[in-house]
Amino acid sequence: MLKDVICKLDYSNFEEIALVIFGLCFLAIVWGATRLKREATDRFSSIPIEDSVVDPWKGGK
Amino acid sequence: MCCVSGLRHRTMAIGSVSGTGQSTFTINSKDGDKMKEVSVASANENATRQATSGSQSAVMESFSYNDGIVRMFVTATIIWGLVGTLAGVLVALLLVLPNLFSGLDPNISALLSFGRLRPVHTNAAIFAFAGNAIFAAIYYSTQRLCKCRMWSNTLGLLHFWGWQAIIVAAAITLPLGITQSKEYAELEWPIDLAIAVVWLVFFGGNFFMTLWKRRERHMYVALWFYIATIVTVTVLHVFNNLVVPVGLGKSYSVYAGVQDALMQWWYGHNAVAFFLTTPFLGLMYYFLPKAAERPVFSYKLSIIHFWSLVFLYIWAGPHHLHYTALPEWACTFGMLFSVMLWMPSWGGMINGLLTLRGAWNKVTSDPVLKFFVVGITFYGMSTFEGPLLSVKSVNALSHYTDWTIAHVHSGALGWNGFMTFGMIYWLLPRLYQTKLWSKKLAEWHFWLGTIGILLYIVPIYAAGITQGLMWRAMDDLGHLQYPNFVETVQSIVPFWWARVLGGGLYVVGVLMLAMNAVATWMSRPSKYEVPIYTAARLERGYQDVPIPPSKLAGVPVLEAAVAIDRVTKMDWHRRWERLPLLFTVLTTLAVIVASLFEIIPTFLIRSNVPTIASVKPYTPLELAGRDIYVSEGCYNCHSQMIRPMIAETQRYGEYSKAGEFVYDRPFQWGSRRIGPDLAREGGRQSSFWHWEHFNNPAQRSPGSVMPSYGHLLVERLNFGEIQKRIHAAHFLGAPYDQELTDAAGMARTQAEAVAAEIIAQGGTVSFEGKLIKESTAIALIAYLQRMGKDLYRVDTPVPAPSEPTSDKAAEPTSDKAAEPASDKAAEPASDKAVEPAPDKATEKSAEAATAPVPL
Repeated sequence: MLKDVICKLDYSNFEEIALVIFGLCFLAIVWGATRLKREATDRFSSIPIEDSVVDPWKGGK
Repeated sequence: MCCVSGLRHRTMAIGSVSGTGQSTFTINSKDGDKMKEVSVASANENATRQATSGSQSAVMESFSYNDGIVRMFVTATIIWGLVGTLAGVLVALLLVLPNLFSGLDPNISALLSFGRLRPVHTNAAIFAFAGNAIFAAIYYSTQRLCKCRMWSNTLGLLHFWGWQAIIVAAAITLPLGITQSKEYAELEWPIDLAIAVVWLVFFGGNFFMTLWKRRERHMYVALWFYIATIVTVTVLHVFNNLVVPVGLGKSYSVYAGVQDALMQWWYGHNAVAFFLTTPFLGLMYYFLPKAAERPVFSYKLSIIHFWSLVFLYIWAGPHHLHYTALPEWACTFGMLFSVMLWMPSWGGMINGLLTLRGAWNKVTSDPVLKFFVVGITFYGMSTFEGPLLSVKSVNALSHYTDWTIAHVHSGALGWNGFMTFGMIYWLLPRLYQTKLWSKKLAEWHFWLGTIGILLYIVPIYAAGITQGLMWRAMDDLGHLQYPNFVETVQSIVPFWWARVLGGGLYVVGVLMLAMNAVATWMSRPSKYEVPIYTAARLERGYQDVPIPPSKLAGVPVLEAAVAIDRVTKMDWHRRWERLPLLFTVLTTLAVIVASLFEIIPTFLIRSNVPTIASVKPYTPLELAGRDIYVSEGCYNCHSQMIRPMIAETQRYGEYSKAGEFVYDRPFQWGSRRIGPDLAREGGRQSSFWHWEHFNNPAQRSPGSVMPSYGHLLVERLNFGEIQKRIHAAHFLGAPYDQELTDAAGMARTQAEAVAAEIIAQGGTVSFEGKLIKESTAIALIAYLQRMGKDLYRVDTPVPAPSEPTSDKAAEPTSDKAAEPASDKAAEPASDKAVEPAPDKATEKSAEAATAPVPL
């Protein structure tokens, strides 16, 4: 059945569909990343040089 | 940083994180030259104690890190680094001195041919050297980032010894010719099974259980890259290595031709992505801030970097197959996503280099940072070049040339090698709890290595571009300017010599590292100190901070607007970063969705692989010959794919069609042309020419860098083995009939015919006291004479039964339906060529317009 479904697809548009999927995901990730507060990102980026545990919510959102 | 004072021993008592997300921290740290508390790690692992912090209670646990396993992986990295780079210099030497081992016994020199040793070099460099390096990095950093010991010492040891056993098995089987002949996936199925167990169960199991038991709620970016590595490599390895075993050392891929090519380069490209890139990026994100004592430049950029890489890399594989028989849409996919890869790759490079902001003064004096800076720069260079090479018009020039080799080595020697060396120099004093033996020697290593890389890649870039331009050069009359392929090879030999020198310098650098490591190890304390840490166990009932109320609540707007406003306040990514299971699922989804977009249509849509009625399965002898071709690693120098370009069709003949490869398991398109393409080799030369050429290539083809394959002339072909290979091919879809019961007999008959032709052309009945009709070379010649001829096969009527057939004469084909296969007029095969033996099974299906596609 899967084979029938796939055979009916117009795969000539797959590049465009893939590009749109990636574009949407990319925009979502960029948007999510830019909303992170400076205090939080500063703390996360310091994790490797800190021996203490970092609280993900400390320092505001 | 390379001294004992750099060691920081610290005991922590850390408060709890409450169920509502409110937290309090009490951190008591004690820095000192030596820890008073020294004990065996395992004795303390389970020691827990109850502690209080303010008004809240938490279970405090004592633990230590397992650095023993890191020491083992670091040692293995150095040893295999030496082996891998020495093997590289050896194969580089074999190109300029092809007769280096000609004085040895043919059976010994067979083990040391370029075709067999090149996979030893690539496997040693990738899986042994880089593999052990990433394991060292992951075991060291994961424990620190998770604030807990690796979950199981036993799994760690099983992982270490299992991986070394796999490497040793590879080093033994590849020179013996036991190979699948798929680049970077050459190992045969028993070893592949071992890899799956060691990678997923021992390594993956230990890693994910450590994540599960971690004491640090937040997963740092390096851990995301490790998760992506483990998940994706598992998927790639399993699906690319699906085979039907024929024996312990032989199997046939379940994929054929075009589909096999797509699977292989989906694997091959992503092996580079998820074995040589993502774990090294994890390494960079952990060890670079450590060495520079600076936080990573931009955490936001690292989020974008990670997800963009994971999303984009997996699509890019088909750019290795531009202008081949792979469908056009798949190649466009590969190119499009490869070009987009440039953005996140440079995002990572910039993030790495800018992490050194304010610390550039340290780079001048710290060899660790020097290695990291140059390593990251090479990452940027090779990730710029990768997208460039994926553009079709550039690829048309670069593909099959040494340009690709230069590109690969700028990444491997510069990025993987230098990041590994930087990490090892940073780790050595910490792991062995003493000073680095010689900082000056490390500096020398850095400079020798840098010069070595440049001396390697610059001439090879020149060689690649020279090759590409010479192959396509045409004169005013539209003829090839360099029709003799050997001429194009000879023009780049001086560049190959320069590569030997550059590679040699790089090896000397690795030797310096080995010396430094041994000397540092010798000055270690009599007993390693094991610092004990305490931290709170993560609470199981932990819940995220509630989503803040929407500012739109109570405002007269649509409910949907309120819902969207709340969703935007949820900080999705921050939540994911504390949920390893969800994070792993999302990463897996990103990889699998992208893969299925390419793989499903290629496998299920018939029109992607148009079949050709005249293309028939190989005869038993040809199949045996093909297996010898695979075993000798001929694909390392010869392609079997003529691209639709004037220069190629003039040089090699009609361009290759997808339908020509439906019985090719594995596909043998190759990725490099040290010798000419062989896709239409059938009938080009006489069988006697091939016989002589195997014995002494330079005699038949002056200037050739092909080594002698004299052992094939005296080795006996095992006719009894052929039967089960025919059965396996039949199981996979090849329409055999009489071959299923009499493969050996049919193979002997065809071998006699080929031998008779050689004798008629000037050969002898026996060679070194052995009948030539029983030699393995006869099977290989039968295969070579078949290559590319099916497209032009004109089936001739069955000869009358009364006509006697000579033992020595070649047998005519007997298919009833005479159908020209291509839209071009069918061309008669060379009169010197031997037609394959009659194929009764294919006679039956010859009338069909299309043959079934073996999937």
